[in-house]
Amino acid sequence: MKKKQYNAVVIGAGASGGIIAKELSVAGISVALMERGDWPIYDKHINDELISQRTSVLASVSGPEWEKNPRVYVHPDGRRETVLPNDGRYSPLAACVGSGTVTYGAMAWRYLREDFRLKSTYGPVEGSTLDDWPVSYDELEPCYEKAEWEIGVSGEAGANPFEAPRKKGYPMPPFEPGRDGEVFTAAAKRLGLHPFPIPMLRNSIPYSGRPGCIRNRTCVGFQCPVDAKNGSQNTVIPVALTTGNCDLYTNSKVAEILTQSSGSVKGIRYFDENDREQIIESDIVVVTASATESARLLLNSTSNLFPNGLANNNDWVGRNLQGHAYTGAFGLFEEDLKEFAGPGATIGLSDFNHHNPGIIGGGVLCNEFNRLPYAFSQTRPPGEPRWGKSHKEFQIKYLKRMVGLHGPIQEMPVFDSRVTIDPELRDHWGIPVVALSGNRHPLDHEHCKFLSARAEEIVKEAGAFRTWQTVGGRGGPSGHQHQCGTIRMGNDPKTSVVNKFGQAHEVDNLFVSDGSVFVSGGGFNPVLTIMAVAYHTSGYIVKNWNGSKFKS
Amino acid sequence: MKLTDTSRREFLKTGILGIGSVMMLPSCMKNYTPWQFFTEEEAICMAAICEQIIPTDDHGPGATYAGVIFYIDKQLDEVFTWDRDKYRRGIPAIQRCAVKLHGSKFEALEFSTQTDMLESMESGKLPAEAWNCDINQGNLFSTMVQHTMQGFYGSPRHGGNKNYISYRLMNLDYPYIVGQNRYRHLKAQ
Amino acid sequence: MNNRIFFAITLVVIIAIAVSLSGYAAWNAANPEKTCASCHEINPSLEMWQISSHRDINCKECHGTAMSNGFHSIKEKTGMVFTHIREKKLNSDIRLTETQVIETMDRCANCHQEEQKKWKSGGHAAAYADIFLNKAHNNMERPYWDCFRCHGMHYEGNIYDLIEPVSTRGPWQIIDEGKENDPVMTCMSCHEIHAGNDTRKAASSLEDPKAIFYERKEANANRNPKAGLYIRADEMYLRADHLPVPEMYDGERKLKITPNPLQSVCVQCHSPNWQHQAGTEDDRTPSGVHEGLACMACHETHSNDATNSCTKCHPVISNCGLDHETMNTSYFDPESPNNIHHVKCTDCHDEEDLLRNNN
Repeated sequence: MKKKQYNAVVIGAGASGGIIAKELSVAGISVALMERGDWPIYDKHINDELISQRTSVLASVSGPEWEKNPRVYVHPDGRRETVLPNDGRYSPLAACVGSGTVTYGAMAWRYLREDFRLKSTYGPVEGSTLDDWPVSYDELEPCYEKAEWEIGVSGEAGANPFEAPRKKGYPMPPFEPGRDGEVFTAAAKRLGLHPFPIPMLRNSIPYSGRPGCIRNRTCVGFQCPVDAKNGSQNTVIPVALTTGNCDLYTNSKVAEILTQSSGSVKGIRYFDENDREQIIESDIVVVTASATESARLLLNSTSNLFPNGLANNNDWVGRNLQGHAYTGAFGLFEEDLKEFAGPGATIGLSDFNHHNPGIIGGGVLCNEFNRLPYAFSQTRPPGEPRWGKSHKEFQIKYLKRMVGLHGPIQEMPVFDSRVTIDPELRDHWGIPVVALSGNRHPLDHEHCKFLSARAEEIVKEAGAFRTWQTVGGRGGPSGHQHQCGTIRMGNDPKTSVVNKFGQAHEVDNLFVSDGSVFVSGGGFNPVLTIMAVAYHTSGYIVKNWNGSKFKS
Repeated sequence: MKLTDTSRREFLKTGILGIGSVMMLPSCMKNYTPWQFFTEEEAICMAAICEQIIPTDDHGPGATYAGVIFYIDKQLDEVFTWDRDKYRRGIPAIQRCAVKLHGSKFEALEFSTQTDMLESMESGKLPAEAWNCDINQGNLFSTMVQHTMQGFYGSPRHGGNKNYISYRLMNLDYPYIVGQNRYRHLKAQ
Repeated sequence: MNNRIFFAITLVVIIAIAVSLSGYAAWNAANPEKTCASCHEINPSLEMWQISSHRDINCKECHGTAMSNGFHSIKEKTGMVFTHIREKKLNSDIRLTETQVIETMDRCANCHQEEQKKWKSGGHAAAYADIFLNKAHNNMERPYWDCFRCHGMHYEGNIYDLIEPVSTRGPWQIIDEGKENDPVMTCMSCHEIHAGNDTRKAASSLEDPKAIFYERKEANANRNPKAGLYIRADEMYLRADHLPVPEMYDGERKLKITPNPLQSVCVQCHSPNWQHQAGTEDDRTPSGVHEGLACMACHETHSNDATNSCTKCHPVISNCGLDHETMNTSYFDPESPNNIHHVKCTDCHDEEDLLRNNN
């Protein structure tokens, strides 16, 4: 085996991995940025609904490859089923440089102050490990700002009256509401609510040498044909690579984090693009591979000091897996409201994120991303036929006339909703795979009912002649594209895995920074917070770096 | 696909094989069939089922015109390997039921009779003795519905949605008409 | 050496060569159903060709033979046979390479000389270097994937294979060797050579010239409009009359659009912004006094030449006594503020005056 040496290995070139690689390499710290997938190539999956990252019928746009990457889904009765990335229960995330930021819808939410202080705000919740974050909104605020300006966000500062204070506005003006957005905005205002343009990690005007958005219909779920969607692959990663301090290893699957007898980590073992085993030695390791894969990596890295997995002597790694139950309401209208200008979601309202009567937390409500023809054919109001003449008629008549509001609910973290390692199943490289098990908290569904009812009121007010609710939050485990919570950050080493900077309580030179460190998932799409946390973590690493290790 | 991308090293091998293949030509001249997975009989029955799921009507063409059957055939061959067995054993079961209930093959039945039969199949009510296999009727039918929708509303590059017919029916422009915004930038500067 | 053996060997070689040559000649002359198209993956192409207007032109006229271009074509055709044996390919998996597309253009010109000359004189004959090394554009923003939607539809690779460096600073160069002078728009960008079409027939009778007009009109109603669009994303063609007719707007007002299906091809690249406002971005949809006209009403299809186009409709002198061709429009003066594509009466005349005169 060839050995390579770096100051830091960053595992996973997604939203946070790209930022950390950039921050470290700009500060003169040498970085090996590991990515299991390849650079995304737009030409490979143009406009194709059946191979979009949201509708993976024939393949997944940005991976992972189905057959090589199985997982196990554990049913409530204990039955273990092998699932592939084309199955929703797999909780798939993209495997490419940039990961989900290549194909995402790109909503750029700052969490609210309360989102970091759920337990203090609402008190403890039975059957849930609900807690406060060890870091506050105000500590993260400069990091949010940095994410908004370095990655690039279009929005209107101050338009959301519920937003926590911000020091600086957005670098680009907001997007227009579109027809359904206008109708919903007017209706929400009549109801005394506060709609506003959704902040987006997308260029409303040319920014950073890349063009403005052309409103491509196939936006969310697809790579941008004109590169106007801002992800780590077209912002921070290119900067990291230009410093000369960062090497990007594509198609490289990290199997294990290697530890020294002292307990600190000394590098990684991975499989290169030719499936050959390789070692990289490093002074620190930063895990940024997503809530499921980061947990898997720690759990797979066992040693004498860590028989249950790295930094897992308290058995908290892999637990509290959360995601977002989506919930809302739809309506049929007499006129065309959906213009199919990309990406479709334009307005949101934050009136129901907190302080709702009788529920804990809540969620933001937004109009929908474009629902493309095949996805639309699978969506019908209750009681409508699923096939035949009237199904076809509905498709033609209502494709542009069925619109709705929905949003992600703040889920209650559950200790037994978790990522474990399957004792038998191995992936293509012989690495033990993720098994997902557990259930959502029963309150999630109740909370969803609340939010869907509010959504239906607005859809009715907007003039729909028929409305219905789609209420989520049942079954489990959660996870999916907003997966988080599995490597919790906290002040107490007994009930968390990493401190507020993402540094493992048990291992000084091991960091985790992605959705997995989230204490709770918030009532918003998480990506901007993942980015802010990445800036927070990398700021700490850079500040305390003395040339080969930490000052402390 | 590049037909000319054989490397130089392979070229000799190619040449030899090429000559050999010319001698083997008669074996290529077997009757052309458009089907990769289906037999001709299966395809005829399945095409009739697709047309039931998305029929031709006043709005315009249905699954037959769109070539949905070619989509399903291609994807069963290339991707949906796990669904092959369901189709292979399910279609004869549908035919057995058609013969038992109505005395002729499914594709030869009146349109409304076909509809009734598929409604029974959807709710698992085709006679068990004629169905006579362990494939779940409702499950097979939903798979067929899903595949038909994919073939009709998906991209033509996968075999169906000929000429983007479904997009025309829904009044969605395809290819999407949208200009590049470079001139706006020029004016801005 | 024994002379007889030498003679025998020579004879055998000569016979072998003769047999090969005559076999080769016979192969090329044979019905394609017995040769090229006897392979199953070619069959659907053959079926299309058989009902196309090129049905009387043999495969080799456009696709060449194994000997038509020396080593290059031997390699190409053997490669095909090799692929046929080694890999399972459907007809829908088979595409001409960009090199083949460009080579075929010269063979198109064997018959379509006039069209080729016109095409060469116009903007649609631009080469890769003209488009991708454009300084003004490259200074503004990095090139992106979607450039190939219109420029280089058949290009095999992505933007980063073609041009470097991918930054706004420059200088830029085409890394793909030999691409500089290749055309970005080929015959096959707008023409599907195998597309089904009836050939034009002689008039059924020459007795009544008027009848010929109506006969032709009826025959043309169902003909293929002879153009379509090669859609890079789908690696397929859509006939012009299967392409979407754009809904275009001038402010709030919906514009009349010509029924000429060829306009649907033009607008695919000369496209408006996402709100479909006429005249935005690359769009040239006529509004104002020329609303409803097709591009082809003024522009010749292959050269895009619009010289003398005014006189096709206008008398020399307009209602206001001005010569149409020298009026203050972009037709006469490239600097004129009155763009011929969307000039309105009120651009020159006071609106109230016009209304007063009309009443």
